[in-house]
Amino acid sequence: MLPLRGISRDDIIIKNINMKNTLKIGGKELKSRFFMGTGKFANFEEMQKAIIASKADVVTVAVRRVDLDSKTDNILDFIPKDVVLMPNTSGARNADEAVRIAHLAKAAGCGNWIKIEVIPDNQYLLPDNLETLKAIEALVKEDFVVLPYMNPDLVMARRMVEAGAVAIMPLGAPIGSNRGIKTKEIVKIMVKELSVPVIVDAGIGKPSEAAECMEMGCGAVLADTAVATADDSVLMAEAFAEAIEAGRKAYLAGTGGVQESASASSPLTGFLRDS
Amino acid sequence: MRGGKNLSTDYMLTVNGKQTEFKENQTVRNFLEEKGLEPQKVVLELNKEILSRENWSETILQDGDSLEIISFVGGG
Repeated sequence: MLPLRGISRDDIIIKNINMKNTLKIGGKELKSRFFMGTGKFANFEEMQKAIIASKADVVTVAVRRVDLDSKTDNILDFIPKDVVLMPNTSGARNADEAVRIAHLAKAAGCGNWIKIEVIPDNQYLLPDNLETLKAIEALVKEDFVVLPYMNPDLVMARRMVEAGAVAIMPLGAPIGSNRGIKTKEIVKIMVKELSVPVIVDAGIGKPSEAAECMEMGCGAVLADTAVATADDSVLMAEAFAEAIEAGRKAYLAGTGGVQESASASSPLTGFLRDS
Repeated sequence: MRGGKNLSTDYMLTVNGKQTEFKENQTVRNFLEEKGLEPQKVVLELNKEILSRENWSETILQDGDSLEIISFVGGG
């Protein structure tokens, strides 16, 4: 007897040409579109496992004074050497302070990437776009690979790109708030209009929100709090990685149109009834 | 002049914002080692200028210097 259905899943190999896409930033080809932060983890061992589970190619760190009164492990010992280290300038309240922190970060000898973060306010941690622009102008001249964290604004983002920013990192919601992509409408416009990758940074609380950013065409997503404060941060890192990959695939595939009324999946004829 | 105190231990420097004593003719590298810091893991600013690692063995701390000892921490 012939089998009812002729094909086994192993008979057909699908080669998806669209997935041959990497994110190119600052001369680096990144396989992963998940940028992961390293703050708020319970300990460095857990952070290390989360980094590995996330498959992130870019990992952020901050720059601080060493506490001479308490001996702590060094975070660099727990970050795989094959990931790009992207120090941020958190703590900077103006362009000059951001430039100073960038210099210190570069002097550590871990590359020339810098995430500019200039924040004058402590309640909402919203960035100062104008001071950020000034810091970009200064640091691009010194051959830094500059990625600015910014309050979503197309005109300002364009100025930042003109000044040499290699990507733009608009916030989705206040840092650490886990509220999701509240700035969606502006970010969508930025994705459409800017010539550099848009990387949503801050506020992303769940993998579904990260996937949504990627479906919109964002170049990448940065998450920290959402992963680090999950009950199981390692599993959450993996969940984010999968969501970001799924969202990217959906963007490349092109999502179907949205409409008000239903559209039947099968013909509305040939029903087993007479009227 | 503080009476009765040995002048050789009277050298003060500001380290990460705190007043700290140091020995006369002490190099930066020696100071870090005394504080138990691994030189490869920190970055220094001496009087607001970055002091590159190659110069730590030659640079002698001066009374009134301001030293910032910086390293990476977790961040997003």
